[in-house]
Amino acid sequence: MRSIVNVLGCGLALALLSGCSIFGGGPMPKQIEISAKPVDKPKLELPKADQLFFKEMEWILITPDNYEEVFEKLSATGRPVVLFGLTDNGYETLATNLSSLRAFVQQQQIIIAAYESYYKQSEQALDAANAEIAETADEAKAIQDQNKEEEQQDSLFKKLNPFD
Amino acid sequence: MGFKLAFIMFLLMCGMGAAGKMYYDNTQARIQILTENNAKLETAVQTQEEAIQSLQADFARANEELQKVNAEFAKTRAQNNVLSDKLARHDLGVLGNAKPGLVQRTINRASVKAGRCFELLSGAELTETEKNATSANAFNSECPWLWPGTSTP
Repeated sequence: MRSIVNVLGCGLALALLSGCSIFGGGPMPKQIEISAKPVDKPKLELPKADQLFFKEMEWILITPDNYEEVFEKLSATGRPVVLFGLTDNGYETLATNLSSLRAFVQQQQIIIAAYESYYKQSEQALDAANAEIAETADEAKAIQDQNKEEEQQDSLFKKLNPFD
Repeated sequence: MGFKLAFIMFLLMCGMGAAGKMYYDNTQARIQILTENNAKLETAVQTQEEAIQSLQADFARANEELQKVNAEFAKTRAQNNVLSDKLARHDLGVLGNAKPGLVQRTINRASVKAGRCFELLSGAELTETEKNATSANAFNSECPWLWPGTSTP
């Protein structure tokens, strides 16, 4: 009777040590899936701005000494005898305004060139990074596959296991 | 009695064996899943690191472009002051009153050159005279900085 109790006691102890896991031991961990696929942006192809063609214009200087001569020449052309005038200060203002406008156009071109340069370089860097990511993912997959193969080959226990 | 004991022991051993097998299988499945998860997480971490490096490089490039643009802007501001300085050096009113013909020719030539500066900025092709210019001033004295040659204005 005592030996039966011993055997049952040992069995119970073993069941407590190993057998409890068979009733659950927590939920099976979920297999995670990671997707890192880059999305290609469509390229923006814009037309060039229209080229400027400046028409020739003529400045005429009128002084108290030459105004008669100027008006005579003007009436000889058959055009209406009228002039749109500027003082010396007005002319200087117009010239500096045009100079400012030219500087503004140049600054806009500088900004566009900077954007172009920045985005071209970024695109190259992004392509390189995506290539590295793809390479890393391939390496990880290769390691996983290798592990699986090794596991299948090394499971000697499975071969010897009479319950398998 | 002995037979009963042996039978009970046999049943117990079978039970323990089955339990052990189930435990082993369960543990192996968990190990496999966790190993795969670990590999995937390592990949994710590496991807994140690469993304961070890419962002840092972008910031460096943006800063570089900003510095370039600021330097170029400073140049255009200096170029814009060239005309103001030139006009400040001469009294156009007095000159025009004294020599209207000469001043008229001068400002008409300057106007044509200033207009040509805009054409060049809009992408106009160079004329033969402009192509053969040997200095920036000969190229266009109103915007010598647009000369594609190498000498300074």
